Amino acid sequence: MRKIVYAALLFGALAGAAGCVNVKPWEREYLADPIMQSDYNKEEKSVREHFLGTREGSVGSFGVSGGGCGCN
Amino acid sequence: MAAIKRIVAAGAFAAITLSAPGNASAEDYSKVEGYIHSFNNNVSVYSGVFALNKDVDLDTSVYFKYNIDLINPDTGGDEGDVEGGDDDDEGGEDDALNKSRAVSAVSGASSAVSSAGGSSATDTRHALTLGASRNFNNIIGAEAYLDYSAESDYRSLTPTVTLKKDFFEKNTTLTLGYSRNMDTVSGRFMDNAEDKTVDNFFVGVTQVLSPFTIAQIGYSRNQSSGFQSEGIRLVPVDGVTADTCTDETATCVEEVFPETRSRNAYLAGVNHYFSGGLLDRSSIKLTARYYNDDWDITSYTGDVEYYKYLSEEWLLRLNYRYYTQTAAFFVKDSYSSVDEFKSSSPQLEALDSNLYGAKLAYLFKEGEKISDTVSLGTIEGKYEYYTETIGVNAHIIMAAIRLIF
Amino acid sequence: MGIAKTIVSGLLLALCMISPALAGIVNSKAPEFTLQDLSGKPVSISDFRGRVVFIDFWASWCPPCKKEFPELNSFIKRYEPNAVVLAVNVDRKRSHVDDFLSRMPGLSGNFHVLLDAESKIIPAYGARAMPTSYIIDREGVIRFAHYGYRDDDAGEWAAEIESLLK
Repeated sequence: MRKIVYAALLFGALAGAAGCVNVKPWEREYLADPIMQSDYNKEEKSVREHFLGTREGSVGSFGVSGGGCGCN
Repeated sequence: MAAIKRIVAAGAFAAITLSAPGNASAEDYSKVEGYIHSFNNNVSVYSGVFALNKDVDLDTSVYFKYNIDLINPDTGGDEGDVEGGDDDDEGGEDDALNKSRAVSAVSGASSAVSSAGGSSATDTRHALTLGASRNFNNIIGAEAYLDYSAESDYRSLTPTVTLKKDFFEKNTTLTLGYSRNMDTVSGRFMDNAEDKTVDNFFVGVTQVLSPFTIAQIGYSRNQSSGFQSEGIRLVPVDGVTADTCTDETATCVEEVFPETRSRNAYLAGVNHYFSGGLLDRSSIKLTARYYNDDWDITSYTGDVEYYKYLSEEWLLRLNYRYYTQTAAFFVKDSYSSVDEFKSSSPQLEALDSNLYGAKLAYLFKEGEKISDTVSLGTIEGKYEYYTETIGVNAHIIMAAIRLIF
Repeated sequence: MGIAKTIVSGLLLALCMISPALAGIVNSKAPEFTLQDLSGKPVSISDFRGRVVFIDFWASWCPPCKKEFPELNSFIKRYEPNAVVLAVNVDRKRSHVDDFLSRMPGLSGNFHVLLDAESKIIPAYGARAMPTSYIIDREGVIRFAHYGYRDDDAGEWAAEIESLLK
């Protein structure tokens, strides 16, 4: 688990430090579109994940959030 | 190498604590969804969802959801053909087995159908979710949810906590989550109710790659202990066939699973928005997941969703999902009474599945009011087709309306 | 010594990553610009020298902006004619601006919407969130900055503007 948390931190640190990504707040119009949101239709996602989770042998479906308009 | 690791970790930690994060509030909405899951064995599940999301202030929102599933297996008439099973017989052992697969596993709700034919009854599952989210002084965001579900032979209580932190000018979001399922199982073949506890841990990172693209990676770990079966299926042993296995006897026994289970899932995804050209105002989301556990099940999932604004009012979504898994180490074609573990669970077999879907949504113009405080948001309908190589297919129909207030 | 080196190196790395966010524009001269208003007329920030200027960068796709906009429009009325709002919009499409405004109450006399569809001005002001606002004194120096919008911001705005009107 520590390795995974560390890897996540590393991923973020590298992305920032490399300066490869610096999307400004005013450039996020498309990311703010509902079709780009991870929690758009979250009720539908929940029903589907439950249906699939009871039919198939694997689970692991926490939502990853982020992106979006980056407002406030 | 160790020194570099420490430096980067320290830097990342400092960046996290020194930079400004926070989550904006979500929209106030109410949503009603209705589903029909219709299986090829004349089993249908009717589901309804009511959800409400409300901003208390710009930093806090609360969430409520109620879900009901009603299973309606067909108890009379022709059993019908089942495609793709090991045997091609109409009715009999294979069809009865597939019927139980459909009924017992479709919504988490079980019915009184045993592993082979027998009488069946409807069952109802109720589920309730209460949640709240808050942005604390622009330092960190937190969400807490409590899920409760109940049906005739299964109860589950699950608290969940999620922490979210944005950094690097909100281009990166770190998510940490924990939940604990506290389940009580009391299947019809069990003498006493049994408990099961599942601890779930999750970590994920979302990275904005450009004004058009977001990527995600995630890892979840799931530790389960206690009664791992459902107590609703029997396993024929010592040469007995499934169609004669209707009540518990010396040769028709309860399932026995290991008492613990450890699971890992790794997720990666990318979401891209197209602007201009033929694909203008559309997006594609690709997700891949790898899973393994200590029951030796390994699975791969590939998912694609494509959204396209057909006009200002109409939004189309096409989706496809492929899934393949190996069988648990103790799954066999037939069992003897001395086998330590025994399973009739279709979930634990080797299988492939495909899910194809299309959804159309009508988007009302913002501010199209139906009362002083309530506006129309969207009306949508979808059709999906799900098929498994172990012989069950399902048509899924959904209709929903979303109101904004 | 090894630990100290690690901490210092880590902090330096962190600063490299976040230093653009820390660098501020407060107490520097407000960058000069000319943008068109809703009727196409050119408006320059220097037109308002001698008055307190509340410059607000916003977009129709920004949920907190939807809450801030009517609050700000109503708030600034009481300071007419000594203070003005220049609400600089960065939407790419004019139709989105018009849709947004059609759902808002009428604009106050000292509330001016300006259009920066190509986001030429906002980088000079270094907005760190949407919305971002700055309060500029009568001499054209940025004195206060607000990144994002909170429910209790109007109280802060009032105190800040009144301190500059003295």
